[in-house]
Amino acid sequence: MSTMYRTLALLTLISVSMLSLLGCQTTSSTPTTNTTDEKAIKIVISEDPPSFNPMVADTGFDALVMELVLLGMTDVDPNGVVFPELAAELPTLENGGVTVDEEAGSMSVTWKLRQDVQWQDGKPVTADDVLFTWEAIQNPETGSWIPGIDSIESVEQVDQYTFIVNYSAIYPGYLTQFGGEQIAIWPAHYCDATQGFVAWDCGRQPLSDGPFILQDWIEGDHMTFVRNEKYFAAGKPEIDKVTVQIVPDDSVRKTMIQQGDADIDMWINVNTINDLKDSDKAKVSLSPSDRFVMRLFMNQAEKGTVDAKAAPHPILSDVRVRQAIRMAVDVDTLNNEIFFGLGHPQWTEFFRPPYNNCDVPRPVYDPEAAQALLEEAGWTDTDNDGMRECHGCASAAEGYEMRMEFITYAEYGEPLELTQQLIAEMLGKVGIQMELTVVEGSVLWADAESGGIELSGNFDVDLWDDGYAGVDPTDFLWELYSIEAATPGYGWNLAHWKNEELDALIDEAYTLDEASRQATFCKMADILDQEAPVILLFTVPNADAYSSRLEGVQSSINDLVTWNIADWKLK
Amino acid sequence: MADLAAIKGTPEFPHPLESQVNLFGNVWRRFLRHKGAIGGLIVFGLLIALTVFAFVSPYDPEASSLSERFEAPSAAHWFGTDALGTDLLTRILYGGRISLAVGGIAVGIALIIGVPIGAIAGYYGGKLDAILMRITDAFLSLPPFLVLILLAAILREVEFPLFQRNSVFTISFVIGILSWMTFARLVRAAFLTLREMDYVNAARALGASDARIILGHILPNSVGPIIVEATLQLGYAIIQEAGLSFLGFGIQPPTPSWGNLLSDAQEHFIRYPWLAVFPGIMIFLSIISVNYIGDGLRDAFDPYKMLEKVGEYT
Repeated sequence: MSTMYRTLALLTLISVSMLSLLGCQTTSSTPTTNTTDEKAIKIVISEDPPSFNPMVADTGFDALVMELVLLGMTDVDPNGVVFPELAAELPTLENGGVTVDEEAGSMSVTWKLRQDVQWQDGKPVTADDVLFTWEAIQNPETGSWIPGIDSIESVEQVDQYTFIVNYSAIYPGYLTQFGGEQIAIWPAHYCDATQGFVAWDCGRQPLSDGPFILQDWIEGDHMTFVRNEKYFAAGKPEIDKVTVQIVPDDSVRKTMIQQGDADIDMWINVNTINDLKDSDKAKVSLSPSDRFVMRLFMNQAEKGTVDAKAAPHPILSDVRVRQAIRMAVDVDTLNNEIFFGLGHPQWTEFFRPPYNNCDVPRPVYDPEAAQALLEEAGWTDTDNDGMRECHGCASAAEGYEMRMEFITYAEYGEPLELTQQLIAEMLGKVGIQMELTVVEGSVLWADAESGGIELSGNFDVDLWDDGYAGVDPTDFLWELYSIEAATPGYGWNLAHWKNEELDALIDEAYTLDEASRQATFCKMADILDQEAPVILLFTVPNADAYSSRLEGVQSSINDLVTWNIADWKLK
Repeated sequence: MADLAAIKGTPEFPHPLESQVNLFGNVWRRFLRHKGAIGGLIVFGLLIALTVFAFVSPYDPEASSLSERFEAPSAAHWFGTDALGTDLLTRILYGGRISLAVGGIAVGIALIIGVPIGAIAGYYGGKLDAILMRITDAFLSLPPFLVLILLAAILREVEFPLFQRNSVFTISFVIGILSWMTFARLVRAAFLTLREMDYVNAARALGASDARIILGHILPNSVGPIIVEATLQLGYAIIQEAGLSFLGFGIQPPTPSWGNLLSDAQEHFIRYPWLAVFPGIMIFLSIISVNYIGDGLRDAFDPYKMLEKVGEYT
């Protein structure tokens, strides 16, 4: 009897769960109907933005909503061209906005603000606000770090709509000093300076000078924005209402966009790009240029340490091993199979215009040559277990096994995990055994004090995508390759690779002389190619999905998809 | 002295005294009458045999074959292929080794911790009992899955023999040290009753040591409920491994386990349903079969059922 009851109970349970599944499907596929003529769109994102100030947490969602309500002096378009937002024009050497003192090695930039921009309460946006923002940022206790901050000597106000930034060095990235995807100008009369830049309330309840005004924010559920009637560009924005809805699950967001229940799903991965290929309700916008390069960071300091001189990595401190790893990875297969050919193979940091003129030959994929190089470096497999051991290698004890931990981060999702597995398989074929770990990005990139895996040097090889915003690679190169940046907390020289020659070249690149910069970059490209502290694989496509009723959406690697939301139109 | 043969019962209706003499033989006979349990035993045995003989598969569980990604089930690939073109059946069989091993080791660890604690608490009673049982209660009050995730995250950083990264042993250990409490309670309850039995008093009067009484006299008589509970815990452990791996805290790829196979299937469930369905079926089959085995064992060990008529079993 009991068996029969059990079977019956089981059958009932199965039917009930099937019914409830069907029930869910019916609810979720109910189309949202708009009864008024209001032009409303819905953006779906996975989590609440921490605030409207991307300088604090930089999750991308903060920059996404910042673009709706706050303006910077300038911004960067998808092609890397800087355009003015609050600025009346871009200061250059030609128009006298930039003056250089060659002898002192310093420069000054004079900025003029538009005079027709207002905060939502009707007060004008002035140089007072810029100075207020600068004071807040540079406050040593409650402020933040922004690119170029160390080169700024002072910021002085000339009149209500003019201010001058004095640099103690030549800073080529001056155009996005108070703009770009991260920095906005904050209202002096509204934000409470005593609360400090990273903590003030106006970071979560901003006063708008952008195209939209924050109406309400129900955490974990949605944010509502309405059209800013006082927005300076006449007739813009065309859309009346923007709802930012929190939908944590990737596949639910994908379904919503496929069924026309959402208008924007940002930063979609290659699987979603592929799935939306034939959709009639959704389109995919690909960024016209690439930024993020999937790359292998190889720790040249022993795992758990950060000083490659004091404790060199037993395997990776030998340049021949790094070169062999580069030869053993079949980049085309990874890109074509896992990324549907949407990425582009890259092998030098200098692949983006205008600095893409260096002649660095593409490394060949040649596992046999990789094996030969490993043999030459003293890594052989004498016990025939498929894994090499040190027999006369440069930096490890005799018999040390060629086994390393290989980490990547979880948030990117399946394509990155498959890439990791395939690379491990490719390296396994030449006798390098990789043990795979996938961790949350917040654990991988946390600061050293919080036990961040990378900054505390607690890894052998890491795989993730990195690149720079805008058009100037100098700060990025400093962060990734300078000697100073190898100290945890100073930068991201995760290879802990210290090269005096490259360090000098980075210093040389801080100039406004474009020809000299170009030459310097090519010298750097050669060194990086020889030394292979980081192995570049391929660029990952930057894409956003949007509903086909929306016009004007253009994905950008230099900013979030909402960078031009004031120009969007509904069909 | 009575002749044992003279009071011997029939095979269908065994005499109680004979049951005491030949406990396991009768348990086995009664177990065999439980159809669900027999079905469970066959299915579970088959699963173990399949995972043990996984090596007969012509495919490598960890080698990609990119020209065959996401192939539907076919004659060449019975369960289809996954995102890297690896044969799913092969991965499921190798994954079964991991999942079942985790289940087995976890239950072993739970037994090693839980049984002595329960035995000592039940046998000695008093303050010792109170202390040990409060510790048990404290462990019971922990939210198991959250602690599992925390422990798995901590142990991931540990470099120690056996505990290296997310090894099978680490995961089993994490699950085991959070599931010994039921054993402790069960064994304690059995000991509280059994320690008052005449044969225990007799042993004590003959001068047997506490250890001898516990190990030689009481424990063998409480083995029934322990075995039953062990089978049920085995099922839980398999589910918990699946849950941990599903969340990324369990067995790391490319090593397959039923949990991480299911986790990998998430993104493709709509397009390639077999990726989720087959590992799901394996977890389902193993859990339901050990549950039926446990059910059968419970009935077989039940002293009251011993005296019941055979007919009531159907």
